[in-house]
Amino acid sequence: MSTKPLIQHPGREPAGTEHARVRTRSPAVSITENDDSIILAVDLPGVPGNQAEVTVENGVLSIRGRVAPASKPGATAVHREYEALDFERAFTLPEEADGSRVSATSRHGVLRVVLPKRAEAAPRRIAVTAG
Amino acid sequence: MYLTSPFATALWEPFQILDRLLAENGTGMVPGGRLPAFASSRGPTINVWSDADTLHVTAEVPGIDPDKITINVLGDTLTISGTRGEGQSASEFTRSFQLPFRVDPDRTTAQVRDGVLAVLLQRPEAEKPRRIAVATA
Repeated sequence: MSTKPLIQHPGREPAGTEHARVRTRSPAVSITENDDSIILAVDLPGVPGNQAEVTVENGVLSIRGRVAPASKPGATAVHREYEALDFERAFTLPEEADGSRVSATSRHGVLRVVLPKRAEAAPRRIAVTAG
Repeated sequence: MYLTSPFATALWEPFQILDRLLAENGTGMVPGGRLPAFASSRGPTINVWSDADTLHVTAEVPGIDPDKITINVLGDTLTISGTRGEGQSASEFTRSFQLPFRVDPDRTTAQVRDGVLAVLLQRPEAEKPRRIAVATA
């Protein structure tokens, strides 16, 4: 089991984007694949489904999620283990992924992004004929 | 299984796929970096807000079925437990916290929304601080 960490440190500012001045954190991601697709499960706790933003531009898949503010009027924070920052993470798509057919659904704070593979990339069974 | 959330499954094998299929942009791929806290099998991280008689506890529980989360209150102790994952990969988590004051279990409410658990706890009526009028002799 490979556990190569690729998680950037929470709160690191991505450079060169319009979000560069906003502190964000990098969401945890699981990636699986099958013959047809590459599937990302992105933990976006606190992000309503319609506040998650998935874009593909120049071969880069970007995922952003705005966390709904947890307003506690009149209350003071007495214990803090996490900071409910917005989420942001980006990946370069491989050649085999068809960036024009990306779809995404959200449930229980998990965004599921499906990247279909291009038809020519899908494995095909080639019949072997006797010569 | 619909949910393959990293938190819900504590599953990290897919990273070898990531190496091959998707290169992370920007500042990813931190050699020798650490896994986020969620990779552990312990319970979720929490935040607590308080005013005089109320406590708000929030916890990030992405991908966990709300039906699989249990909240227990006893005196001044709050316990959050649950099951993440399904089938053979299912695992249990539990965390207990001592609260700043005793709370009324009957008036404790909890809800999960977009993967965030929010527990609202109230100080028992009988134990609320009361202002005593000082009579002049």
